[in-house]
Amino acid sequence: MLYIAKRLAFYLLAAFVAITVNFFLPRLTPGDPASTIVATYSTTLNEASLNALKAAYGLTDEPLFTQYVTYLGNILHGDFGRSLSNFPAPVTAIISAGFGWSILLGLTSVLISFVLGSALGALAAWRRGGLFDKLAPPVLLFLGSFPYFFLALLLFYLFCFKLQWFPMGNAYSSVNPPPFTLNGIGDVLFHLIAPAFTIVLVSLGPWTLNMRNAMIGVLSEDYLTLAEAKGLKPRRVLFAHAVRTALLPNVTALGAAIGGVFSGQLLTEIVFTYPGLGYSLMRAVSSVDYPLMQALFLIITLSVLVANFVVDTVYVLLDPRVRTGQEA
Amino acid sequence: MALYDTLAGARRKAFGSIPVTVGAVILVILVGSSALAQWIAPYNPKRATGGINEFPSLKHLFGTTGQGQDVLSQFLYGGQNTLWIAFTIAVLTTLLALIVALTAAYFRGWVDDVLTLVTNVFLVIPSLPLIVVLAAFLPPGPLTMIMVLTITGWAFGARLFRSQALSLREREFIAAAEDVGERRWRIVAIELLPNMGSVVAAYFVNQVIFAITAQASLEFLGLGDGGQVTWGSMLFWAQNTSALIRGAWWTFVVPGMAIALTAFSLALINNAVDELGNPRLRADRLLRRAGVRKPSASLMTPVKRNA
Amino acid sequence: MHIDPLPKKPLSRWLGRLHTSLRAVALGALASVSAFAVTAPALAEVPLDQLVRIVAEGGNSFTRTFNPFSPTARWVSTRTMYEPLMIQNYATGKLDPWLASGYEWSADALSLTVTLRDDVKWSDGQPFSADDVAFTFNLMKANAGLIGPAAGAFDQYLKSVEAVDAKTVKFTFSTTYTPGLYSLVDQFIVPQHVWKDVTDPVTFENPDPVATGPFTTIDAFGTDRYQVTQNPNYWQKLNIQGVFIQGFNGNDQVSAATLSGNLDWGGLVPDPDTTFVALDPEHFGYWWPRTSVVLLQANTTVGALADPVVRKAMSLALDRQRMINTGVWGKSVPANATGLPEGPFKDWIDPKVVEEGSSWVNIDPDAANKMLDDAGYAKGGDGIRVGKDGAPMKYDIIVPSGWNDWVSASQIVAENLKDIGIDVTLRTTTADSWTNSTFTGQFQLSLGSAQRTATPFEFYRNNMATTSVKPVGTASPNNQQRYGDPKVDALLAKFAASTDATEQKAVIAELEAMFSAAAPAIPLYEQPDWGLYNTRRFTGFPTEQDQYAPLSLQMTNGPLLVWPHLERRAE
Repeated sequence: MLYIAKRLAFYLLAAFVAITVNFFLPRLTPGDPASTIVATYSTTLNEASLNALKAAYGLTDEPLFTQYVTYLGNILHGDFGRSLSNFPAPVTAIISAGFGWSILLGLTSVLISFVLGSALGALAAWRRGGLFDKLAPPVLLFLGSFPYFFLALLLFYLFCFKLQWFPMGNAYSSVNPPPFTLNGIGDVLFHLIAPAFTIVLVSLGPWTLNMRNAMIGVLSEDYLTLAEAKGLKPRRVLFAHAVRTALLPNVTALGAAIGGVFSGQLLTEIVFTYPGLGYSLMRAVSSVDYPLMQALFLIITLSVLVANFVVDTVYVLLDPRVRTGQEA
Repeated sequence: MALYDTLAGARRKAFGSIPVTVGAVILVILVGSSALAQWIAPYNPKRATGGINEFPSLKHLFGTTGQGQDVLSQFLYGGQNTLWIAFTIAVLTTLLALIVALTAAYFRGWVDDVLTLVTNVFLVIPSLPLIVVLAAFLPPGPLTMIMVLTITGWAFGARLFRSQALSLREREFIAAAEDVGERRWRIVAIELLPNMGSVVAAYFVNQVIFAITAQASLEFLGLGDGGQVTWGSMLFWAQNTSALIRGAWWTFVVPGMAIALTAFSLALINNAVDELGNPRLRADRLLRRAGVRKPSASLMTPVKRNA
Repeated sequence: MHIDPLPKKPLSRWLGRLHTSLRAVALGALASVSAFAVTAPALAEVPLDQLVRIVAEGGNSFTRTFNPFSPTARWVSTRTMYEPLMIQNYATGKLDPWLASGYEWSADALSLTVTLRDDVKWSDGQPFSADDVAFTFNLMKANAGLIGPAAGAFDQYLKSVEAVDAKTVKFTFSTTYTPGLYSLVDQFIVPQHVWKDVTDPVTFENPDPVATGPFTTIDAFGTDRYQVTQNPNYWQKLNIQGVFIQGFNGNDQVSAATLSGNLDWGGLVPDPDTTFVALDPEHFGYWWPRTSVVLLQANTTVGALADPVVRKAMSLALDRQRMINTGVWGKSVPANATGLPEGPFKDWIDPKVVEEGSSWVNIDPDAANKMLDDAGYAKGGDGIRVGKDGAPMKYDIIVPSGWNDWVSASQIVAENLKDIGIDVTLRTTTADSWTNSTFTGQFQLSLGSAQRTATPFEFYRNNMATTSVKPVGTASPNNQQRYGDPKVDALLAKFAASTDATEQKAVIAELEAMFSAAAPAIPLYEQPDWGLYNTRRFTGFPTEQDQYAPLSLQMTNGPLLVWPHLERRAE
């Protein structure tokens, strides 16, 4: 428990650092973004309108540190301001619209990749040298070698545009969210297939190979031999010891993968016009929409931290040696 | 001795294994032809030397782009730029990750805590916005690409190496070394580092792959330097001229396949390197060469190991 | 013993099975979806097949905000909801009456009287009156943050707006400024009875708009799609139920939807004759009229670029036809030396200026080289010319990535200029960073285009007047090249004080000659206004044959003119 509490404190600190970086990073861009933002949207602005809009947008010329304190205070109150690129919509409205879809697409594809990849890897390692072991790695490696957007665009072009097997975009068919019925869920799942499939296809390779190689390493270790020598059943050895230990690198990677769900899915969401946060983020960054960017950064940062914390906890359960090692 | 064994093993492996041979051949062809671009490219890659989106022909073996440039020449010159940038990024990120991880493992205590904190902060800062902001802040070009991808690309490696070092440290042989009062830097250099060899090598090759695809992704998003010929910028231009919709698939498929084949060949080699670095597997091979049949790592043969 | 866990199976069979099972999954899902379509409970949505499907807004984070005064207003707020007094129709060149039936200037041009239609109602049934018009203008006066065509009018030329009676509005000017007419009648009007109670009109989200336009009812709103249906009290007859707006994240996605026939009204598809029209010549069509000019902007505060000889020599090196062929698939013509597009401004363009100016907007790299040699810009050892200040003529041309036609044109500019010893590097940037650089004058070369306006007045003011020059570092959407000539200011003042068309034309002709002489910006080619239609379900779109209104969805002044003409095709 002490270990977990220590990790928690650490993540809180990391969150603070990240939030701080989030504030200062976009403000490193040169020029006077405030005026540019306002000038972009109207060619007939005079000084008075400019200043009025800046005030409405919450853009001030106060010293950075004062703005920073205000920013921290607003975060604590859950006040994220209004989006500049979608004025006067509150930032929270934009985020709540895309949040669920990003999570759905991200978790589905990452978990499928993780489970399927680890299983395939364990299988390949167990039957090392077999046909599956010879065939699966190169095939998966080849698929994983394509730049994601390249494969996604090709598949979009073939399966969504030419063959029209899958919808060309959106998360469901109706305009209003679908009802929570079997058909509604089926509709959502159907829209999920193409984007999730491309992510799984490209990312399966590393999961499988990491698992296979870790597994081979573990299988050759002395204590396993000892376990076998003690007469434990091979299957039990495999699942209770080998898989559990060999899974560690993949579990570590899982934390990063889940954390990267929002920004990593950006290209998927663009190619398949999926209504997640990744594309909002890209737009917020490229239109210097500070309030939206900060809120998205915050959400992403927190999700990474939570994911890592969960993974750390799981790690402890899987490998008690880490726990004792840390405490020693 | 160990080094000699490794090299000898590599040579035998290279001639003995189909995947590695395939990987090496592809890589040599791609790297070689790119290196010779100045001599073998038929046209200036930046100039319009044909019609718009011409289908591959004898005059233009890979066709022409939506701008009328020769795709083959772009592929050759583009390989040159893409590959040196990617290798540089891989070297830098691997070194940075290793330095951070080993420093943490060597000093432990608060140094480890601080470095882990820094690593985690870099991990939790969403890299894409960071890349976009940095790319907007710095003038587009190879140096920016290298800097941006190095800054954002090392953290996972540091974390991986550190957890590997942690895991190794708990092993019996390190514990034994510690018990007999071996110095810490010796443990790090003699016991830790060689045992991390396979992980580091695998990470390095993965970083080359990461750098090639990340570079292409950034350029595809328009955050690279569109004026330079790289495989990524070829994809950017194919997209810019709506190649797929207009049926000019060759402008899109050629650079895409170039990237995929490079990454694929590296991944094949990576697998082999990974096995070479694993002392357990090396021993297996020695045994096999000595005529001892041993289905390695198969749980079906519990006591074979002592044979 | 080593046992192979997988039965030996040829790869092709395995792939075949994968293929089959994938299709089974897909078809199973498909079946469940079609089942859904049949059995789903009726939502309060108007069925999609009754709605005109258009691509108008990018992205996927739509929020239910319909404040028309926002600088980033939802597309529908000024195209189907809030309407202006009159509409400048860029297809016909006429000022069409809309909420107003006509206007009249006083003899001294210091007051403008506008008469309103008497059959207009707000969508909640309340009558529309002159009070609403006066209220809208005074609301904008009181809240500087409200953006619209008439924003800033009170600071520049407008003194007061008052309702004379229920159907008459009087605008009183503080100074003569006849071009102000177009800004004032273009202003959309909001209902006094709703907006008078709004605490802060700048941040008002307006989720349930009350307006005079054809489609004001929001009956379904999703994060990447929404539909807006009929205003029950619209003052014109409508033959369609409403519009369906879908967001797309990229150009290819829009093209794919267009080519699949999933859109009824769109804008741009690459190489339209072969990729689009050929698919269904009976129903698919496009009309790309040209209402502005793409300009190569050379920052006149940067070294040798300040010299008009250099700018004209650069112009002579450019292969405009190739830009047109690669960037816009041949659907344009090279621009003339006045910088004005020939279509909308044919009555304003002086043929003499065009003819004399062709000496510097043609392609002639040899002449360009000679001009630069003669002017003393000798080539250095590396073949790059050196400016008078000793600096080599090396420049960056910046362009936002994703603006495909401009990116292609910029690439050609860079290539062409290398032939005359000017080393130009193409830099693609994010749209924001490009805007920031060009607006603040911190760039060397860039592309730009003029706003579409009723007269050429704004074009010359925004490109040549000293009043439009802001210091480098201060953002301004106009005069990015920072070129100013006091003589232009005087001519513009003369134009603004006049109500006589002949006199205004003479002034413009003088300005055209000054533009051609000084080359403050280099005209490249005329910018097409993207517009395409699919008449499988709806008919009545403006076409090249029937040019009653612009087809472009992006112009504020097009769609309102079109809605009453659209009709649902009989099944």
